[in-house]
This record gives sequence, C-alpha cells and structure tokens, in this order.
Amino acid sequence: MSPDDITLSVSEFVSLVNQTLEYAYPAVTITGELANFRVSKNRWVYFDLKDDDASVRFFGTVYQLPGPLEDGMLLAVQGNPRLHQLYGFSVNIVRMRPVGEGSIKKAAALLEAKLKAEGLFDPSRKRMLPYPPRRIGLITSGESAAYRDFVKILNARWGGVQVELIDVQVQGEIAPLQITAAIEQFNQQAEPPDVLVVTRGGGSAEDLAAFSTEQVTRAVAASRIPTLVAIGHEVDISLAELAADQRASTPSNAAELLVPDRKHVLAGLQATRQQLYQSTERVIANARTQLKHTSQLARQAAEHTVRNAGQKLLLQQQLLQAFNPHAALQRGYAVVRSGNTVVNSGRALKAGTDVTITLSDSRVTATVKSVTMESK
Amino acid sequence: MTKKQDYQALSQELESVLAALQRPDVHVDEAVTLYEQGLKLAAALEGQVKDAENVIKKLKLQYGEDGNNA
Repeated sequence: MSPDDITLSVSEFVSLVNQTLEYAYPAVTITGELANFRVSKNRWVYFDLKDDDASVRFFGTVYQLPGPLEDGMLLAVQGNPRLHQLYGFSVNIVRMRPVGEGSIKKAAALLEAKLKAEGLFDPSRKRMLPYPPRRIGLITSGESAAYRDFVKILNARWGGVQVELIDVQVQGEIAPLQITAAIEQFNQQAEPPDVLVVTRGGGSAEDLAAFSTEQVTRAVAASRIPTLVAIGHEVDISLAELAADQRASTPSNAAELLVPDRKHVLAGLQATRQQLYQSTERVIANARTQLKHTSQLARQAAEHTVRNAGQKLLLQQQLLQAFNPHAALQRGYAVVRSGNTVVNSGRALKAGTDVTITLSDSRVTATVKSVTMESK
Repeated sequence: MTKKQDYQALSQELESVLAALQRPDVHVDEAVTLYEQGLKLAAALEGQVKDAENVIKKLKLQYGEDGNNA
C-alpha cells in the first residue's frame, strides 16, 4: 500500500500523528524567545517560543512555571509535541527554565518584585538567631568545600555545637526540591535544631539559581526555625538570603556569625577576672582604712576614759586627804571621850568626870577639874 | 571589796563617802570610819585605773598604734 492510498478520518489522523511524534520525540527541549505569554483562569498557561524564522505554541499549567515570566525572555522548555483534536499543534510543557544571563536576571528580578510585594523580605519578619546555638541544622552538599569550611570554622571558634547535616544537591534541576524538603524535614522534627543554615560556595549565576527559586525562597521564609542563608558570591544576593532571618557572605562567614570566638571570650573573661580582683582589692583597702580609723578612735576613746577616771580619782583622793581626821590631831586638835562617847560639848562633863584624850601619837586619861561654858 | 567590782559603782561609793565626810554634823568616830572606807575605795579605784592603763599599753604593743598587727 503506497502512502497515496491511505485514507484516514480526522480523529485517526490526529492519533497517528501523536503516536508518530511520541515515537520520534518522547521529549524534546526547545530554546527560544518568549512571546504572547498569557495565563487563563489562574491555571492554564499559553505562550509561543520563537526565533528569527519560526514560532511554536506551548501549553501547560502555572505549576510548571519557574516564576513570573515576561515576553522577550529566553527560555529552555522541555515538553511533548502534540497535535490537539481541536486546537492544533502545541508542545505540552514538562518543565521550563530561563536561560542566558539576561533572562535569568530578568526572571529573578520579576520573582523578587513579586515576593517583596508579598512581604517575604520585610525587616520586621527577621528573628534573632540564638547565640550561640546548641544544635544547628545544616543544609548543604556533604561533599563540598562549603561544608568542610563551615564545620572547620565553627569548631575552631567555639566547639561543642551539634551539627546535623542533610546532604543535598546545591545546583541542578533537583536542587530546589531537595533543599525545600530538607528545610521542611528539619521543621518537622520533634526537637528541631536551634537554627537552620543553608549554604554553598560561590559559582556562576546558573550554579546559584536554586537559591533564587520561588520554592526555596518560600520554604526559607516559612521556616519556624530561624534561618541563616549563606551563598558564596560577590555581587548578587539570592532571594533565599533576602528571605532568611540573617545572611552571610560565605560558609565560613556563616560560622563566624553563629558562634563567638572562644579566644575573644576567654580574653573577655580574663579582663572580667582582672576587674573582679581589682574591685575586691579596693573593697579590702577601703575596709583596712576604715578599720584603722575606727581602731584609732576606739583607742583614743579608751585612753580618754581612763585618763578622765584617773583625774577624777585624784581629786577625790585630794578631797579625802582634806578630811583626814589624823591630820587634825597632828595640827594639835584632840578628841575627848567620856566612856565610849566623843565629847563635843562641856555640858556632858562635870568636875570629877574621867575622860580619855586622843592625841596624834598617844592616848591620855584625865579627870575633869572644872567646866566653864563659853558663850559664842 | 575586790577589783572585779564595777568601777562606776565604786566611784559613786567614794563620792558618797566624801559627801558624808563633808557634812557639818559628822562625828569624829564616824569621820575616821568614813576616812578609812574612803582610802580603801580610792586604792581599789586606783588599782583599776592602773590596770586599765596597762591593758591599753599592752594592746598598743601587741597591735600597734593603729590597731594593725605591728
């Protein structure tokens, strides 16, 4: 049967073409400039890819978009060519990404503007990282220099911090999915780590593209665990970094921000110890001065009291001497007694009364001859 | 009368003795007794004052002028 003899119904023809296409091109990737981009009912996506001489129609859903797109961007679209029963030929999109420096930047700028408008990068959303953390959830490639640098600097500065790694690919198609899954996995742990660190070393704009995808940026922003994102590069900041609670320029810088340097802490402790010592010395010196002063006062008070007592006693002794009855006898006074009674008046005597006369050095007995009263 | 007796009390007792001695109607026998009593009190007080002075001197030697360990 020659080809001329084949007669088919329209439906049969569509089926035959699709079978042929499926056989010839199970999947094909086409690169071209985006044109006539439109979204229908928030779900269906239609656009053309074109070059100078040709244009091809594409069809897909919004879930396959890498982010906001704009006509003129250069895209690489993988899809299945199909002939639709009603709408003609189009390529059904499987996945797509912007290509070329300009388009990648343009796509990133559009996505950044969209996420910024949603408030994902608001400074008010930023949380403080625990300092230092006890446990770190690390998301990076386990084989990378970034991983080794991070752990090396972390342990050199502080040590004793537990690091739990989820090993992911940090570039390529699968990277955004793995990074997002790792962030979610840490967040779902019964005892989640104190901080999440997402990091990789520097690379080309395409190498770093995973960290500017909508998926990863949203996962970082949604993390209940505080996040630190450090993507090593010079110029551009990835969107994941903008969404993170804190960002660092390199994996090493991330470790530096997370923990203090034990050398500095020890030096600080030494200074504090010195201050403590000096303060204590000062308190002791003050107490010593105070004590010296108090002791002097106490001694002076004691001396003063004793001196006063001595002086008062001397006066009392002088007064006592003034009333010394023996002194009167020595001056020629005498004490006359009748019996045991001291006679201080002549009325108590009469002629013939026996009396005892006490002198300073002796006792004399005598008899009264007469008594003459004297008027005063 | 011992040295242990309160200095203040002894001193007041001596004051009373002196006051009694100075009364115009004091009898000579009473005066002698008071005088003797006064002498004993004065001696006891003097002993206590000397003791106190000695204690202070000793403490000065032991701890220095300022109360610091010499």
